[in-house]
Amino acid sequence: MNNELSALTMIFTEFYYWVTVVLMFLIHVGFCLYEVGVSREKNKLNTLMKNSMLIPTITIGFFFIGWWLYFAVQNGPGITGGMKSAPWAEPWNELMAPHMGGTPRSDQLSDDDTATWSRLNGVFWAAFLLFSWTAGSILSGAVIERIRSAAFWVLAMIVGCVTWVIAAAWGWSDSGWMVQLLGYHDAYASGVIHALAGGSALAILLQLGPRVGRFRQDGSPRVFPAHNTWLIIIGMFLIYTGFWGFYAACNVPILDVDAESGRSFFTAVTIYLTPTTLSGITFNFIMALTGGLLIGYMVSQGDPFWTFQGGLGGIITASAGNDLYHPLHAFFVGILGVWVAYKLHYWVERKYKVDDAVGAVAIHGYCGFIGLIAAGFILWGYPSSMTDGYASINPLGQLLGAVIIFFVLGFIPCFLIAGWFKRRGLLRIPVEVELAGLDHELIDSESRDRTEIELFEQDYNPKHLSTRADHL
Amino acid sequence: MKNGPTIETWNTNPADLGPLYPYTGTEILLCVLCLIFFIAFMIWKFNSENQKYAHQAETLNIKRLTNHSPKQTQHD
Repeated sequence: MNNELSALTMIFTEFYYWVTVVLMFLIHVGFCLYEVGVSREKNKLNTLMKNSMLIPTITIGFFFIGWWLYFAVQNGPGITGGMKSAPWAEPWNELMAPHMGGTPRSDQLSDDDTATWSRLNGVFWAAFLLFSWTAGSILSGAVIERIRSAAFWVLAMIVGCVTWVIAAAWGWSDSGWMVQLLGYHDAYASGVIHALAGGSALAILLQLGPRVGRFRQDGSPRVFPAHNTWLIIIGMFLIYTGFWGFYAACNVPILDVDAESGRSFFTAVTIYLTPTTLSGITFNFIMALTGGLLIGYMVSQGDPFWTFQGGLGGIITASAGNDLYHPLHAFFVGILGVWVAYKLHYWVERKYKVDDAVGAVAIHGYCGFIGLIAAGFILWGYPSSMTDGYASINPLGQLLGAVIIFFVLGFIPCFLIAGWFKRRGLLRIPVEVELAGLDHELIDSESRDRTEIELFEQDYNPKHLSTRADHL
Repeated sequence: MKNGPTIETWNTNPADLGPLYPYTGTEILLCVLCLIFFIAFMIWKFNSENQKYAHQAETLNIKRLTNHSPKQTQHD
């Protein structure tokens, strides 16, 4: 920070991530609106609070363990090395607080640590945290109208503070073991966020069961009409908007990628520290959205819900390779993902009676999984990292990575934990409450108050008083 | 532990400034207190939710058995 250029670079990077956090906040606003819109009138406030309160619960978990875990387990541990040291991410460290970057008090920190992390720790932490909220929100939509909030928050914390973070450490860092050994590539988190959260949501849904009345006796599904379509659409547009921040947060905005040669070349880089440009990923983001919207509209025959979900699914599918794709690769990958996810959603729904209220497993889980496989074929042979000697991107590595993320880190932990809650009667609300609605006491109380106020106003209406006076 | 302000003057070399927050050295204590509060919150939530749903289920069952819908009850 002692010359203008290095100070400008550092403060620009700090500001860049801060802006991504603000943009990504819109993803959560969008998820809240979307989820509340999909729920029925009798459940809307509980639905809102269940999602909103995952913000503080995941935040606490991420402050205490998630941020440190990301750095600590990049080698497995035990696969390519041991636990990594990351003192700046320990919750009690001086760098987990406002700090000017001077000489550290702790022996564990170097001068370089404090100079860098005093500026970037909070904004990096928050950017990752917003990803965690997104992971929690993906689960939240799928399980509405019958899950207990406390159990849900614990599950959201497991996904938002532990499992997705482990996935990111393994496959979404410049030295994660999956990058080194499998050539795993997932630039904008098709897998580590979306496939993982989709796999987790599927596991919870299997333990939770469908909403009462969702399937007829012959097994065919009923559609529960959304109580407010406009909230859904506005919510989805806000998620699209926030997704720009998500993409930007997956990059480092300015880094010298040629420093080792003695030359210098400054550019934006991915999380793998490989060069990319914001301009390039903007092409691909929009073309993937376009492909997803077109196919979503087509397969659903103009259904607004699936059309907007299709746009999101298109982006999610193409995200794994959107740092390197041609825009039309992104377009066709988006089409493929949404088409398969749509078909798979209805097949799974009929076959296994899975009641995914918002299509989260399809749009996040299946699209994310397909996106990883597609990137393995299209980017086959590309280096996965700046480091020589790492495996290059390949279909088998991507398939293994997708299975590890969707099933091993996504499905299995949530299936076990949700099963534990279920056995203790802590997972699902009583059927009487489900039928009456989670907000029934509030609705009854408001209705009683309204009647009381109407009677009061009637009694004291001046017109009535004068009429009574005339009679007198 | 340093009591009170960590910064005593701003007229110093800013490159020497470290933590800006007061009471440095209490970080672990603050972490423990925060964790205790959060665990207490979660225990309270599990307990209150269990009680609420048990009570609601019982009330709704009584209403159903006495053939009173919630709407009729509110006018009673």
